[in-house]
Amino acid sequence: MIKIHDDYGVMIQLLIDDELTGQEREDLISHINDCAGCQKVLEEAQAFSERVRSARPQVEAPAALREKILGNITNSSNRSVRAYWRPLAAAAMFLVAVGVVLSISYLRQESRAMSFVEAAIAEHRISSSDRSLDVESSSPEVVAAWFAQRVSFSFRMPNEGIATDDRAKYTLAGGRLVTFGGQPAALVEFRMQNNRITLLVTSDKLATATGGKVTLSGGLRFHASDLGELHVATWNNKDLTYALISAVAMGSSRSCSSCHRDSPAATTTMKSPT
Amino acid sequence: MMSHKFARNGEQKGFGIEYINALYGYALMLTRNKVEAEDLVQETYARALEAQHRFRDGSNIKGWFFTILRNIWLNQMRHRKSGPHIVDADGEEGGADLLPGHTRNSQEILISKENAEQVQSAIGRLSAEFREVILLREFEELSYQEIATVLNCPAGTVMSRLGRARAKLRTLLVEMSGQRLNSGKASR
Repeated sequence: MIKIHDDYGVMIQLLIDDELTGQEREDLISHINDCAGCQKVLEEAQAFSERVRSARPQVEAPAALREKILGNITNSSNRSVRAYWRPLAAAAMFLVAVGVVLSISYLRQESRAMSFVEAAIAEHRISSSDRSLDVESSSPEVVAAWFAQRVSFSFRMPNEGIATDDRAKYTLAGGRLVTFGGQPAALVEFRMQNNRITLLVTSDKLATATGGKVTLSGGLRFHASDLGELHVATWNNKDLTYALISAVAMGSSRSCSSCHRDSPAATTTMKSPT
Repeated sequence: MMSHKFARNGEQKGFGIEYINALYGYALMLTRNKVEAEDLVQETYARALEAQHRFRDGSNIKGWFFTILRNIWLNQMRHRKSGPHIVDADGEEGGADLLPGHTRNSQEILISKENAEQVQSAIGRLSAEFREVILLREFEELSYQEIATVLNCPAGTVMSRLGRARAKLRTLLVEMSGQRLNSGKASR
C-alpha cells in the first residue's frame, strides 16, 4: 500500500521542509487527508524531523569572540558615519581655509593699501623746498620717458581723458623717484594755483586701491577718502596703482570741477585714463 | 522563508550577531577545532561588513553569512593545499566528536537528554557532506535554495543529498538502538 505511495513519500518530506507551495501543497494535503498510509508516513517523518531538531546542540560562541565581533561592527558603523561626514567635514575645512586665506589676503591688501596711501601722503608732505624734483617738465611725455628708465614697472602717465583735457586747472610740474615697498616708485607732481597735487605710482603687485568712497568712472573704481587736511584718491589701472594726494576735495564726479573747468561733457564723458 | 534587510549605515547595531552561535556551530563542524572555528567566525563577520553593500535586499541574511563562512573555509583549505575534507559517500568517517556538540567545551552545555546524545552521536557518524546538509536543514532550518547557495550546488542536489542523509541517519539510529538493546540484555 505504502509502496505505491513512494512518490508521495518524497512529497511529504518536502511538505515538512516547507518546500511545497500553491496547488502542489493543496493537492498533497488533500491526498493525505484521504490516505491513512500517507498520514502515517507524514507522522513518522515529522516525528523523525522533530527528534533530530530537538537534538540541536546548544553551541554558544565564546563571549570574547562575541565581544570582539560586536566591537568590529561598532567600529565599522562609526567608520561609515565618519565616511558620511568626511566630505562635509572636508568641505567645511576647505571653506574655513579659503576664508582664512581670503581674510589674510584681504588684510594684507588693506595693509598694503594703507601703507601705499601713507607713503603717498608722506611724500606729498615733503615740500619742493625740502627736496627738489628729479625731473621738471610740464610735458607728460618727458616725465613718462624719464620714469620709464628708472622704475621696474611699465610707467604710464594718466594722461588721457580728463587728466589731459585742456580744461584742466592744474599743470604738470615734474616728478621724483621715490621708494615704495623696497622698489623704485614714481611720484608725479602737479601744481594748481597755490596747491600741490602729487601722484604716487607703483606696480599693482605692491599695492592695491581699496577702501574709501568708491566712484565708478570710465570703467575705473576710484577710492576717495580724507586724511586730515588731505584728500586721497586711489585707483588701479592696467597693472599700476595710483594714489593722488591733494588738499583739494575729491571723491565725487562733481569734485572734478575742482581741478577741471566746467564743461557740459566733463562729468558725462570722462574717458578712461591709461 | 525569513527575509532580512540590513539597516543602513550607522544603524547596524546587530549586523547578524544573532547568528553567531549558529555560525560558530557550523564552523566547529567544518574545522573541528575551536580556535580555527573562532577565527573563521571572526573572519566571516569581517568579510560581511566589508561586503554588506553587495548584500541584496530580500536575500536571506542568515544564508548569506553561512555562505561567506563556508567560502572562507574552502579558501583556507585550498591554501593549505589539502582540500576540504568533504567525503561524498555516506561513509563512516568522522565520528560523534566531530559534531559541534561533542567538542570538549560545547559538551559542557550539551543537552543531556538521552535522545539528543543518541541523535548527535548518529549525526557524528555521518559523512561530513551528510552532516553538513543535516546541520543546515534541521538545525539551522535553511531552505533548500539557501542550502544550495551555501553549498554552491543545485537545489535538486540538496534535496537528494538531504534524502540520503536522512535515510542514513535513520539507519544509524536504528542500529544504535539495537546495540543499546543488546548491550542492555547482555548486562542483565
